Amino acid sequence: MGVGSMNIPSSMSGAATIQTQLLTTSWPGGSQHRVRWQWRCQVDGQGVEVFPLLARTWRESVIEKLSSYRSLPHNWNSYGSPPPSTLAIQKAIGFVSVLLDDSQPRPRVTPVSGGGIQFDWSFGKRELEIEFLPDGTIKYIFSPDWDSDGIEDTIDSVTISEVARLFEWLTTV
Amino acid sequence: MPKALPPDVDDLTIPSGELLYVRVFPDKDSVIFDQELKRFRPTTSVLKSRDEPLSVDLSSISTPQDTRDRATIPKHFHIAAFTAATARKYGCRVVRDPDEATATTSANPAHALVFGNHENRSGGLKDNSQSRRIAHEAWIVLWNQDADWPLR
Repeated sequence: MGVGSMNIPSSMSGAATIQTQLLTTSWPGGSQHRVRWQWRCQVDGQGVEVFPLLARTWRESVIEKLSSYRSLPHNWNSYGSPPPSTLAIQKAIGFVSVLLDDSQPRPRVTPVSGGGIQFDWSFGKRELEIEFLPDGTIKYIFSPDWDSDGIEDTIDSVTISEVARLFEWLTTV
Repeated sequence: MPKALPPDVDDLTIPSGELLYVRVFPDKDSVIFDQELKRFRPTTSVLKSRDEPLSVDLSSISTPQDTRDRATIPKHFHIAAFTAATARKYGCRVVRDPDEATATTSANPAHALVFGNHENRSGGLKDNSQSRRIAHEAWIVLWNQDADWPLR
């Protein structure tokens, strides 16, 4: 993950530059890592660090959350489950980065027993689940309401048009 | 060596109204407010168990606090519950499976298993017609007040 920047007008003299930077920090007492966003503000070339400077988008927080799954221990759910697989994490981050945008509703994101990662959305009674399985395949279920079996399928990859189709179904009354 | 599974035969000495307790990973996304029933429930992922039957504790032998405190890792889990009747309604079997004490864990006489009909024949639950349906009829009976508050 890289460093991004944008220029904004400043109420002070000159212009301000805001940089976003993804940092890696250590858990207390451990060798495991997690990532967080740091916002740096520069005014007229004078560097000032500000935490937090801007509200983050939900995609950034979800990617951070998915990255943190690399640190989940075995037995994270207390029932002996392995953590989400590396492949599931990679595919889930790719899904958020490439196929979702912040105008779409934020998903609930949870690890699943056995090593998968689930995204789910509710809209009225309609529900959509997309799960990245440990082997990298993708399973989705969409259902008109909770009291009926949904339609489910397992696929190898998901496309922008497929996501658009699922969200259109989810949000069209 | 993992413990062998008990026979997959519904134990009818477990009454329909028996509550079955499950620990819920304390993440705000693991819990959802059900607008229709006006209560918090676990998200469907919480009850997904494909590779083995779902582990639960019987409420006639355990309290939600007991179930929470049996976790062998230092996390303060939420506790969700659903009834044996709900599990059976979706084709599952509820079977007693008490755990004996080991070198690292204490005995759990309340332990039971919910057997489902996953296609892999592991005794796990089917995602769509079992885990998902049961999750919608479950509710949170014990909160971990230190966990992130769920989005409403």
